[in-house]
Amino acid sequence: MERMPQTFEEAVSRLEEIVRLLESGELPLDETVRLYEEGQKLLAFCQQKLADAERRIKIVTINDGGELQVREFEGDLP
Amino acid sequence: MEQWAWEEASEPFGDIDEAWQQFLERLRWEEPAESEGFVFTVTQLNDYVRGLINDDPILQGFWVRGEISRWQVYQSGHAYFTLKDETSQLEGVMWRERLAYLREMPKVGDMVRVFGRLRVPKGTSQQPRGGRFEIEAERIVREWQTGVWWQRFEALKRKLQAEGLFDAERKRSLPQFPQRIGIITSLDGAALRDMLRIARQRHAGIEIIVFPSLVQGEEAPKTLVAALQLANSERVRQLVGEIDVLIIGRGGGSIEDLWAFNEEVVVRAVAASRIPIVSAVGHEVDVTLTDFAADVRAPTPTAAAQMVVPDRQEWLARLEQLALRLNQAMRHRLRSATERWRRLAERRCFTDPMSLFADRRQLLDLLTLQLDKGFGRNLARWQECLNEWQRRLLAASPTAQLERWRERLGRYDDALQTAAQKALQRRRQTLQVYVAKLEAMNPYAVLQRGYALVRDPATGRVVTRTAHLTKGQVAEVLMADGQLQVTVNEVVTEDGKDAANL
Repeated sequence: MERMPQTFEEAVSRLEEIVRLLESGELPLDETVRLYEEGQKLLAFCQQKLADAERRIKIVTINDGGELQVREFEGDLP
Repeated sequence: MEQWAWEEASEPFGDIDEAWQQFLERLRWEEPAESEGFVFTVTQLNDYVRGLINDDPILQGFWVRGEISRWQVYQSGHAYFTLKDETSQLEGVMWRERLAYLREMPKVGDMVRVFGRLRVPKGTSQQPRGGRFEIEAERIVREWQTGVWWQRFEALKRKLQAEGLFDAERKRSLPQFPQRIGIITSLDGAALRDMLRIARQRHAGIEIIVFPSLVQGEEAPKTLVAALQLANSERVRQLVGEIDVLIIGRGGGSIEDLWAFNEEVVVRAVAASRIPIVSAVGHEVDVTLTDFAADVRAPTPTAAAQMVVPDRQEWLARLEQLALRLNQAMRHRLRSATERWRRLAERRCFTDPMSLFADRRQLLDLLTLQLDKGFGRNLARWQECLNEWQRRLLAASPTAQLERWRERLGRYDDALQTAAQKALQRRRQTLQVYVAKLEAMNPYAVLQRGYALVRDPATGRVVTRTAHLTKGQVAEVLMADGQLQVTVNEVVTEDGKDAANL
């Protein structure tokens, strides 16, 4: 079974490859169906990545003791 | 007459009055008529030139570069100066109000760049002024390309370039779709707000980590380097996760304001960044060494955010396009497969499978016909024989003769009759033998002997090969006294026999 991509870029480039392969129309039917299903999964993966909820903006600093501190950006954004 | 008078005049005269008269005569002769042209006053001419200059859009606001060769600030607070280069000079004035904005007072010998407009000064009756123009300066900035900044910039650039820090091979491409973006800049600057705003607009699902730093002043290089190291550190990676791309920058400012981004430590730290990095220092026109060291130079912080943060709508559209193509390709592929299937299905062997057997059936019919004919011929022959026997029989028992014999040989009547009957009997027996033989050849008669015929109820045809029946199929078994409906339990074909022969 095909490996699901780790990153959005990988997913998109694999998806593009699949579309090209399918568009060539030279594959056997079962291979076509398999690739189509993989393509659908990749699409879902990418769309999920794009649908990610709004994320907070973090500020990372080091205090005098050399410890990392993370706080959230509190300013207003227009 | 006049010619003559002229010659007369060229004569030496003793009388001054006469000479004066002749001079006036000559002036009148050479002076153009008064109506031939407009005569300016000096003021009018200066005003006219002023108008020309004021109407020229370029001269209403321009930069001019030169060396200060005179700089005088009067009691009034206004500054009067002269700019020069190798062959020309330009007078200038900077009013008191403008002078207050100067970062530093220019000195004689400074290379400067002056922004202002050209004017033709107006004199007064107390102080008439000449027809000359001067620049009314709004801004005067140090022309840094000839200054010490420029020299430092160039020297460091050459040095780092020689080390290969700016090589094109070192440049990494930015991730198309980063999950997490680090920004190194001042928390107070407009640049951060611009970048965050753009990032939100494009794709709010991207995580942004800000590493605050000073971006101008003496402390700036140190804090910039610290922020760069922090952003690249393993500790931060463990704390917030992998940062895919960094932006380092600030908003616009003077060369001095941006100078931290030309400091060697900063440039080296940018070049050393493990994470791909985008420089976004100042405006489009500003170039710093950080720009050279970064993987990508963005003209402004806003542009950097646009470069780095993927646009959600754009990607959604692209995915939609891919989805469309995927589905179309699949549909198309299925359609062609269906088409192919249909073409196959339309072939005769599928639409009319019986046609495959037509030839064989024909052969079968032919054979059956021949068989029937064979039977028929045999029967006919036997019939003929029978007829022959009958004829002979009839011939052999002529009634008339019997009558005669009865008449004439009445007493032999019984004996004769017996004899005739015996002969008949004999003939009959022979006939029965033949009929029985005939019967034996009748296929249905064979059934009497315990054989059975298997027939396919669907076609009504006799089954002669095991291969013609399959397991589970219903068959008719014909017997002498009727028929059986049977179901095939198993088909066992004897080896070596060609079941498909028929």
